[in-house]
Amino acid sequence: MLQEKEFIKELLNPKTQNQAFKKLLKEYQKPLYNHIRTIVLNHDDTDDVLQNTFIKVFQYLNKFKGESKLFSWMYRIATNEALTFINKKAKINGISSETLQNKTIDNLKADIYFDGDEIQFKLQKAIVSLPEKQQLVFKMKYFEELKYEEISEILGTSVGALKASYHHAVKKIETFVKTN
Amino acid sequence: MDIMKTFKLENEPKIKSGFIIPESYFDHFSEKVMQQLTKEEPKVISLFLRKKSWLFVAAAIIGLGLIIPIYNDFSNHSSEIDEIILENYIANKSDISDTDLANLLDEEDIQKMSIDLDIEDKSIENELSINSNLEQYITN
Repeated sequence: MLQEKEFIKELLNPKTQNQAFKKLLKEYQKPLYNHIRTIVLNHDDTDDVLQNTFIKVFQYLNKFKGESKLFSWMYRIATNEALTFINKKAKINGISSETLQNKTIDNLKADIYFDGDEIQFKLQKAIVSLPEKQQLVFKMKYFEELKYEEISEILGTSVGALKASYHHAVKKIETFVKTN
Repeated sequence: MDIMKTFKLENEPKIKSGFIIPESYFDHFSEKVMQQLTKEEPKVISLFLRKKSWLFVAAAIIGLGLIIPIYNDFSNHSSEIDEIILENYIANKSDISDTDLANLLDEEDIQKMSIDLDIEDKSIENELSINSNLEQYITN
């Protein structure tokens, strides 16, 4: 915690800001990429959202009050950016975000940056059939292997509610895979 | 197919997402972001422009300071004419006759100027008893 406080000071100090931000980029670019990719699904969109996320992080550094961890604060920004991106894209295409997600999943088979087999493809299809919050909880727990406490800090939901949400998601996914 | 019918996530080996990250994507990512950050530096408002806006404010205040007294002066003079000036004007203008003045007065003005001569009979009797010389004026 002390280390993080020192690091935040470096991020806020104009003299050390650039170096500190480069360090932040190196440390978080991969986990945040994976987090965003599971939400927006294709690489190019992930690239856009990831860049916007880091730009927002940089712009709002002064407003970071240290009440939550830097890690969960950045994940929260990335989640919001990804969800906003999907909603905007859906609006531009005149469709709902659910329809957009289903279309993107159908396109995965032709995506050069997706090499999933039948079960991986089915799992992705099953996930997009879930409500938004359950999707997020499932992806963060199953693919990203985050702890419930960490997800709780990011999404602002109690650990108990998250466990229930994950449990429901798993059941629905199993039913989807069996019946489709 | 049989596996699908008994599908349980916890019994399966971990299923990966299947997403691939393009090779060497992260080699240049941080550079790309840092470049964008330098592009998006906040706009600097030049001191000259700031000064300019203050000059506008100062000019507006001075302008108002000049206009308000002039306006007040003008509005005072236009609505009322000083009584003394008016009296002097009438007194010095000898070519204005009484008739001219009377023509300017209407019925209401004359009513206001008329003196109340409602004298009671008793007062007249008193006056007559004290001053006997007045009798001839009345009878004549």
